[in-house]
This record gives sequence, structure tokens and C-alpha cells, in this order.
Amino acid sequence: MKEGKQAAIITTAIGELYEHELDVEMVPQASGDDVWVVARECRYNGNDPVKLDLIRQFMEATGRPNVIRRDVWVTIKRGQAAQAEKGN
Amino acid sequence: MANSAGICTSFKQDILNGLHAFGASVIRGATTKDAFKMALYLTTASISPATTAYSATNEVSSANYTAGGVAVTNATAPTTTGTTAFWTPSASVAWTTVTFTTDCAFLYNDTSAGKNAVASFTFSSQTVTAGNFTLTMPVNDSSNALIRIA
Repeated sequence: MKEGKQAAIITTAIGELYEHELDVEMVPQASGDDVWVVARECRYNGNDPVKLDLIRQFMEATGRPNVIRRDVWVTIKRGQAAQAEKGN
Repeated sequence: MANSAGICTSFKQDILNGLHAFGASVIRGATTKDAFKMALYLTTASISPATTAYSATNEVSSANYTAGGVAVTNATAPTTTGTTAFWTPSASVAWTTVTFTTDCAFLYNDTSAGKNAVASFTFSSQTVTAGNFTLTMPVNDSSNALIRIA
């Protein structure tokens, strides 16, 4: 996401939109003892017919829901270990 | 002080630094550390601890994603605490403005001719849409580091 002194511009699957045109939601994902995952989903909240048509085309082409930008953070809480067969 | 049996802790650290070769090894051109990369794979891939080397088969593809993945920042040398040797990349691994679905990251040695495998990491299937994908590294200690020889 680009930060500006005025309205922030967000890159999405249908082009660049102003931040206020988007509903942004942080969505915790299935995680476990070793990993923690969080996603940020952006949905268009306006009524511009051109943009709505682009979203419709995007959804039809990809089969994906009305999320035009999705960021993911995977935090590896614990990595992988090789265990010596006979510890010391 | 009694004698005791076990793998030497210094040996575990030496393994991470490539100082031992019980089998046929490679001619190293320099004493500098190797370069490592992290690649991402589709949910249909079969990456596992049995994987021996990097392969582009079933690797994700997207604008702004280059086959082979991205370089891992390696500013912190392997070290030991107690009887465990460990190493963790010194920065997160990230891709910007990408679109793909993945559930696996694969760490490998990009300097080695065979692109030898190091480790695989899995997580719940995630779709990134025109967004950023960031792998944040664990605390670099004997309990949590990305690579540990315990």
C-alpha cells in the first residue's frame, strides 16, 4: 500500500483505489503451535458501476469472492529441528 | 567430573557452518557463507522433508514472483545455547503485489550447484490477491529458531 500525505492509494486486483473506497478487515486464519497466520481482506464499498463491473469480471474470471486485495502474514513461531539420536 | 556420551554441541554448530564432510563433498570456492533462498509452492505440490533440492515444479507463479523465490537475509551466524545449535534469517521474507495460493515455503541453498534442500514449512492454504505475502521469522533461540540441531 502506498502512503501519501492526502488520501492513501491502495493497489487492488481492479486497479488503484482510495483507501476510503475499501472495507478492510483483519481475518485470523487457521494457525497452530508452530505458525500463526493473519490475512487482511479488502472489499470495495462504493457504487461506481465501472468498478462494480470490474469486480464482477474479476470474480467470474477467478472464482474468488468479493475480495479485491488480500495480504497474508505467516509468522513462523517455531522452526524445524533435527534431533540428535543420542542427546548429550 | 564423569565422562559422558553424546554428539558434541560444537559439531552441531559446525554442521551449520559446513565444516565437516563424512562423505564426498564439494570444492568450495570461498570461505564465505552460502546464499539461501525461500520459494513458495502450490497446495498441489509435494514438498516435504524428503525433498532433496529446489524444483520449479508446482512452484507458485505470479507477476512480481520470480521462479526460485527470494534471497533470505543472513546477517546472523549460527550459534549455540545449551546443547542446541540454531540459525534464523535476520529479516522477514516478503513478496509484494502478488497473486497466488500457497501453503508451503521451502528453504534451500542457492549457492550449491544442486540447489540443495534445507527445510520445508507449511501453513493453512492462503490466497494472496494483488497483495503482499510476508513470512515472519521466529525468535532466534534454541527453542524457536528456524533451523535447530538439538
